Amino acid sequence: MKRRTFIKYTTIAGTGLALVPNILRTTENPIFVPNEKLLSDFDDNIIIFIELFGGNDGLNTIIPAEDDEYYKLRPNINIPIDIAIKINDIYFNPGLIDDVHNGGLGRMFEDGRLAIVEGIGYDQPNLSHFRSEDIWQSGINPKSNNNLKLLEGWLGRFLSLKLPDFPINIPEHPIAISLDGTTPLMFKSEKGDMGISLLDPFSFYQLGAGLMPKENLLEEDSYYTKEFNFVHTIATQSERYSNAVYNAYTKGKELINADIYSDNSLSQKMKLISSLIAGGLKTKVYFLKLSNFDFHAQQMNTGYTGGHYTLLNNLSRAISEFMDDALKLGYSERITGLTISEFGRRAYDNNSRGTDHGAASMQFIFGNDKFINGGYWNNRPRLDDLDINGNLKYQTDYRVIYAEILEKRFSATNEEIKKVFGEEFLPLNILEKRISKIKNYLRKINDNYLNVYPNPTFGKFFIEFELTKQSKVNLSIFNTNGKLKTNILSKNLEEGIYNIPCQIDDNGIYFISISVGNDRFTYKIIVNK
Amino acid sequence: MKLENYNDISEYKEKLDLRRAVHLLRRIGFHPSIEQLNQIIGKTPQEAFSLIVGSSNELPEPSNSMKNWLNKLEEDPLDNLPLEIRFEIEGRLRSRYYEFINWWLDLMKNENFPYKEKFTLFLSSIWNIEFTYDTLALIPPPLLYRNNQTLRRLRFASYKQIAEEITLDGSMLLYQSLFYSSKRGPNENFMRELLELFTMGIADLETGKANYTEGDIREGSRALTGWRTVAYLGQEGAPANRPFETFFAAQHHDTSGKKLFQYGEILPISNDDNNEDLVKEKEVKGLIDIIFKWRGNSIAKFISDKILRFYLYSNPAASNINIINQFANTMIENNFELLPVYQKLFTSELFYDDDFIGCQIKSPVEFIIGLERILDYDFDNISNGKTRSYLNSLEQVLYDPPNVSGWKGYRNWINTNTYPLRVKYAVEIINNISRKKIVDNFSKLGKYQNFDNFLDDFLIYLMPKELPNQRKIEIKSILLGNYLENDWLSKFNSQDEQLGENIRKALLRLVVTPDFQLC
Repeated sequence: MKRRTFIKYTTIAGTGLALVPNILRTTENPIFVPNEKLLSDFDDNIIIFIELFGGNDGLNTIIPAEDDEYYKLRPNINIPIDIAIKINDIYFNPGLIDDVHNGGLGRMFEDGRLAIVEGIGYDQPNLSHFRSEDIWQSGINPKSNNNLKLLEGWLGRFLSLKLPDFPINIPEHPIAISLDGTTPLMFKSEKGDMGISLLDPFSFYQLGAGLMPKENLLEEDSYYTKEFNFVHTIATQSERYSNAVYNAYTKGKELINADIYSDNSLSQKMKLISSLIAGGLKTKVYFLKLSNFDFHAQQMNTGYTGGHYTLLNNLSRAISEFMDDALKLGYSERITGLTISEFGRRAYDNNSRGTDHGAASMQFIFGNDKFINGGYWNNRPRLDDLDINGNLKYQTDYRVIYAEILEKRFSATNEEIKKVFGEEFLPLNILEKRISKIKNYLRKINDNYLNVYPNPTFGKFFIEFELTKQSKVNLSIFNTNGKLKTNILSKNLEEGIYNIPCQIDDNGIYFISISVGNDRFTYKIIVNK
Repeated sequence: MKLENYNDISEYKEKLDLRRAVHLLRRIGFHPSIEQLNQIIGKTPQEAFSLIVGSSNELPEPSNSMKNWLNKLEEDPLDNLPLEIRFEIEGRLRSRYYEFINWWLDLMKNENFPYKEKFTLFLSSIWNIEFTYDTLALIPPPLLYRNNQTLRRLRFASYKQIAEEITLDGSMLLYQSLFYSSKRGPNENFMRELLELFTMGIADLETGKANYTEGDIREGSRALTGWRTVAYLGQEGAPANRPFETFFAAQHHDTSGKKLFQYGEILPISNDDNNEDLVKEKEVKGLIDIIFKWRGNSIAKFISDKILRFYLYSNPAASNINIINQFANTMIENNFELLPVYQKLFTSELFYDDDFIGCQIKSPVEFIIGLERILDYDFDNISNGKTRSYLNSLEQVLYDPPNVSGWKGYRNWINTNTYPLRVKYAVEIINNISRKKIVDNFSKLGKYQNFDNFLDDFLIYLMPKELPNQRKIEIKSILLGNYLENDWLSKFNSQDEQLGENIRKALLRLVVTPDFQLC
């Protein structure tokens, strides 16, 4: 295995550091490896997370305007049906569309470039901002881990799996960037931060020069060593990554359509991301945070504008402007973006023209219409079936979306996903894989990769499929909230036709999922005794 | 020894050598001056602790210019004023906020025994207040000042008393919406944070059992209705001549009974009894009494854990419930007073264990103020806000944390954004001191006949752990420059300012090492 050596700076212009004798030299650690070599599975997908911190009010974002219960629960801050903007049966808060470039999220929805997933949340919702934000970013199941300190993120865990020699081997370009002064929990792992913080490429570059430590990483097993090595890694990344970011940024900013972007800070951050992508930075994940959605009071003014409207407007601008720029520059197919928020708001408003902390809410997922299945996902919110705190119940576990991202955009295997979350999830199929290989392994029967009969069934049924070459097959049944019900088989199979007898005892809707060669196919079955 | 392996907390009775004296002073305060260090070397931890915390409870005076506005009410900028006037008022509020913060930073930078400021900061980092809150609103700086002095006054007091007083603190009433809370619509903000962040945490640290229910939050919120503070000029219902004082608005108080924590009960009160003194006694103090009675153990563990993280090792994954329990028991046995807990910590074998010397990642305040204290940085640079702006860029904005849970701390202070800045600011500070001042300052280490002895002391004073030989040689070479050792020593002992440049270069070399970020 070839080792790379690298050049150290001994003088630094502009920081006033004097020349020092080169007595100390580290040629052994750390080693920078090209991103493609480390992450060969990843291809060039890019994920953008926009955190709506404070708890976005889903009910006033996508409005159940035809549900009377909505107006009863929210006499003070409802959005009337004639103020909401209706697109294909879905009512948008006008902030998402008013004055936004190219018709904003409304137009993206019409074009199939936006998916709205209703009812995202988890069992036993936690109404603390910080605990819930940590839960969303760590990917844990609160039910089984309520007291667990959350010290690492699901993405950090996954990247740590894929980069076993981190931080001895570090990717040449940062894998993940947070456009914020701090690194989010999502990026953290036991090996350290798997992503970096970036505010401004120019100052990052200037400040990064000369920071690579001349001292070696330490080897003893002590608290001091651990912290020393952590700082050492950050220092190293600071210098190395500031160069990579700067080079990409200076190139990219000449290429982007800068005029598209609004002045507000979220749009400007998206503009920075576009410059980095256009300039060739190989970063895979970007994270941004939009505060502050925690409207305990004064969520809305009497003209239906106000705090929440403004935030939604800024959000819509940032997303629409960026996706248009991406389209014009030709990289929109690589982009998948989504909003995350630690919870929604309570169904009924409080007396301060606001709402208290809620539970389940809706989520936006956006991208190019070729690889996103846009539209409205799941059922309308059940305002007549709230939990004991007056909150909406969830329909889909929030980790289902993350698992789908790992599966479809990071080529994660089932085993890897299980290691990250502790359990398996069934994707909703909002994302289309850019390269799907399922047809390399399965031959269609009756126009489907799975032939399931009888359907609907009283309980007993058969699953038939034809394997065209020997491979590992995983066949499972999932509930509608995305969680695993049963694993039917998980083994290497020879090519051939298989007919597997199964039984489900409880009535309901289920999904049968077959995974083979890193790709998956799902089929719905109804059990009706 | 690793934390997991500790079972007992026994007392460390040896006299403190240089390394342990520096360690103690770096943790309990913001890096000692050499004079302060000299007062502690050779004392036992018990003696040292008494000297460091002192016995007086004198509070610092505000600056003269602060006195001009500490009792001055302004109109509420958000109360439908014409935009120009609103911006003008907000401008005044902001500059007063800066003045207040600069005042506090100056206290930190200049303090001598008894050390007060880090203890104040510790409480302030639990009971967080955000100057800019709710998107557009600003907390009037006179309230921030009062909050700060309250915390300073109560830095060693009973945690129960702290809870009682801060619940009715003006800045907290505004920040966590008790200011708007009334019987018609009790506001849950403060009550939730009181339990979750300020006293006990969501679940017991040992058993994992949930510490409170949503019902407890609702009931507690009802008990705390009706409290206001005089925050603005022309504020409706505010009593006259009581600027920035907390007062009770009986008409907004929910007088019915409340039940919390299963067995705790606040009885309903009659209209006659619905007055400030009685409600403060029965429903504020009464509420805190209930909380501490039924969850005292969880609270003691929660706060002890915070003390250990703030002063011993901030890694949240390194925790030992036996150790936490021992500190918690001390707290409970002493009616929740903090001083005995601090005393136990700073005189323990645990604290002086090698494993805990040098393991703490410096928070921005420890990093910047620490360096300014080492170099005896100029007051003027602080008063024109440079220190404050350093801290802002390093993500520690005093009295304006990102949210009510405060700063996450530990490794969150150091990332690819803040690390380069820390180095940059350290370089600026070091380059801003005259070489004469550098020499005068370090000459306080003493007079030396042997260069290696000087080098050892110099490095112990500045760095968290002993350097490996190779690195010591490099620093020695930089310090000596072209001088021979004896020549150098004689110049040093006579405070020859020429050595200032050599020492400066050594400092500049040290600030780009990973361990310079630790203490």
